[in-house]
Amino acid sequence: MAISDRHSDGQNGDRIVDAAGLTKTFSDFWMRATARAVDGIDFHIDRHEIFGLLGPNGSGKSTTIKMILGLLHRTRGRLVVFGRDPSDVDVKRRIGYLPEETYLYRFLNPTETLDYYGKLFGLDRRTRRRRTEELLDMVGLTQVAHRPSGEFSKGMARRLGLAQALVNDPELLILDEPTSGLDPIGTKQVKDLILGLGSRGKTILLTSHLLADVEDVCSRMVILYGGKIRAQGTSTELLSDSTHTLIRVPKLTAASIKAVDETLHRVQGVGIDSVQAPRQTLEELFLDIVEKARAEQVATSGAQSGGRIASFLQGEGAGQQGSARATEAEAAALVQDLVSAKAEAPVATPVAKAPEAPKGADSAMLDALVDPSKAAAAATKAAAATTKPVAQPRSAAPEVRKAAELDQGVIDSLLGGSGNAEDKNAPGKSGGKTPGRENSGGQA
Amino acid sequence: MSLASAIQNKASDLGRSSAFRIAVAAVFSLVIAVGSILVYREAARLDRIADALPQLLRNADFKAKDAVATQLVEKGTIDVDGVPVGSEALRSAMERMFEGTGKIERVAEAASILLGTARPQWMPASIAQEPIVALAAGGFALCVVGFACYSGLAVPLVVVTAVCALLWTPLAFGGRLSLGTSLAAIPFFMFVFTLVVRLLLVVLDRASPMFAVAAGVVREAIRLRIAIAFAAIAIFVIPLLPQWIDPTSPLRYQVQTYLARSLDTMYLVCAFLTVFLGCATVAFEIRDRQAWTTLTKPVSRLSWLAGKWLGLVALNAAILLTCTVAMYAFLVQIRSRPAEDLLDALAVEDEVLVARIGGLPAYTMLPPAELQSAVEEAIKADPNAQADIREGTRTEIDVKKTLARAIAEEYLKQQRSVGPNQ
Repeated sequence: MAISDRHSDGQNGDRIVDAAGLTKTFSDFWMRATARAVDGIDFHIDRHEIFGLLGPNGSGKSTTIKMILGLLHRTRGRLVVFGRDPSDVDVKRRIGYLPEETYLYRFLNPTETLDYYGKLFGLDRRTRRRRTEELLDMVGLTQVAHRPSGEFSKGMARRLGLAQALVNDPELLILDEPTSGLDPIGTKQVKDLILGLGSRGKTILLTSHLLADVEDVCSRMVILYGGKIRAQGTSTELLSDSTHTLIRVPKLTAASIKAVDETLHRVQGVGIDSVQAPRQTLEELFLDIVEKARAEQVATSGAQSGGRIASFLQGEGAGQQGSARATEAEAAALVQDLVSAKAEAPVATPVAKAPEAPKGADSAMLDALVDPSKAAAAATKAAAATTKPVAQPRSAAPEVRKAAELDQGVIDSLLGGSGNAEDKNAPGKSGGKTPGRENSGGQA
Repeated sequence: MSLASAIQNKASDLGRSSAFRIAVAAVFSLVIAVGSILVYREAARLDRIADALPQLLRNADFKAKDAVATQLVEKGTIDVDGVPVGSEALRSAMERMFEGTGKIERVAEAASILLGTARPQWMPASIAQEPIVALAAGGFALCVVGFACYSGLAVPLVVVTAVCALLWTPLAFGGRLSLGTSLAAIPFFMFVFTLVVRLLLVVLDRASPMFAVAAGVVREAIRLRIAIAFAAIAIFVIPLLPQWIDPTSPLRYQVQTYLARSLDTMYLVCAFLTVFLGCATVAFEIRDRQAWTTLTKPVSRLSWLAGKWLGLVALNAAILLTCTVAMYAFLVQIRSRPAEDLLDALAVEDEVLVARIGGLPAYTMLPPAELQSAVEEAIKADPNAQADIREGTRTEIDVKKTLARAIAEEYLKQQRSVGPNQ
């Protein structure tokens, strides 16, 4: 019986997980408390949210997750998952879980592993077979589908672990250190997958030591230390630095930099703090090398590049984004839209609950910077680009995202227009940036 | 790539080829169909002889010097539908049958002796008695071959057949038929075990947590070679046991020894498998934390444990089934060995290979009159008792009660005890 149905009925923000005063104390044989892993924390996870749980080792992240999964019983407090007690077996039908370490049966191959977990969810044979094929394709393990998973590298096992977490098309996906052990390609794919699933309406609870990963994908997060919550809020609330502005432009001459500096002094009475030439990140270099090797069809016995998100995972959330399950024709139309939109104006990667914001193209931005009279036109063009919402995973080209991150408000403020740099964080203006993506690389 | 792995890969590719599987199924089906029809025809011929013999033997009269009786005594044979049945070796036995009245009194026994010579050594008695069993066995074998090819065991089927033929042929033609059969049976029954496990996995392939966990246990036991190791012990011992049994001892002892030793082996193997695998599958899964992933799925702890139990039961069933088939096959072989005498042969049929039912013994009480007289006689024969009564140490009633209890107890003891050679 439901503890409190109001949480899943939308009266309280359509909450998936609701914890109040949640405490877990570990005891020894004589019931003497040995450690308080979680100490009276209050948090909630709303539907369609990508929620991050951060903290150093021993901060209580995994204990919290285990309580949500019903693997550990709480000592005190209240914890409700889908309106029910977490130990309720029916609750587990709606949850997918990727543990911190991938604990696979060494004697089963990936196909048998996914089939096994599918059976635990009571899926019929045809569904299991279809989902197994799609998931293996998605995580890039099709070529090793019949190799025992005991022979797998940590990264390959991680991919299989991720696939098993998705086999039931879960409403709540719990990922404990999902990028641990993955190579940069795998890490990027997992982050893209998380964003893709998030945009399709899945609720995701994520923990990671790699803070950049969390920053890239989470819409809201909690930071734990010593079993207590030290901070919580959206990425924008926690990470925004409203005292500085970053602008990325093609390489400027010393004269141009001086001119910009003078303009800034004249318009706003501030100067350039620092000027740096952007460097390619090691991740970008690595991805480039691997892509070239793949293009040359260099043989590998390891995991392959993953395919697109399994079709059965694209159902529910698509409704929230304005479209139901996409047919093949719709998918083709989507790609066509994407191509034309990319050629015309870059788009931001949509993230669940992330408000849209005006975006412009690189060229429009540069025109506006050089010629203030073009600012209004650039703003119009940017606004036009956002009128065509396109649902796309974050695997879109990096330059598309980077361009989208330029904020018309910043240009306005720089050129003495109506905008103000302080307004950057105002709703409808700055939120278009995917949370945590303010840093666009090069600085001027 | 080593030669072994290259061969393994090639065999694996071949096993996945539908054309190969169909071809193997067709060839084996044809051989089984032809073989079972031939066996059926031979068994039907024996059945006709068995039907005709009693009447012919009943009519035979040696005193009247009829042809049948004369032939039996002089040649040890009898013609049934123009075909002679029996052998020279039976002459003296047949002659003894006609002693007395000149007619055969023990017709069934004489028929049994004559039929024993007509039945080929390779034919089990069950088929000789019921020819339809040959067709049923053929049909069953066809199903087995079909399932083996369907479940991807076409290559092992061919390989096992070839290995069996290689082991059996030289030994059988070299006069060591029994040893050849025992050695050839080892790969054959390993294949049977594999087949039974595949069948189990098909049966357990259900969209239910308990069945999924059970199938996981079966796969674990096979892939980690735990079950294979234990099954191999039984599959080696059961076919080779007949080689260690003294063929000169009475047949009933040989059969009894084989049954006892093979049953012991089977039970020991199952017991050790249950203990080892039962401990390992739960403890290791918790230690290696696969249980953490499993228990975050909609699986109750009870279903998980029940699944583990079901998997163990299924594996034991696979070993029991394989061993039972092997035991039956070699029991038929041992049973066909020559008996020491007719009584030995009958003891095998009537004392060893018979089903028994349990029953409580019925004891009779000593009738009161006999008990009373026995007590009186005991008092007369016991001077101490008489002295006790006389001196008033004990009353007469006490002495009589004590003696009556002892006599009644002794009477019951006599009924319960089994003396030597009884």
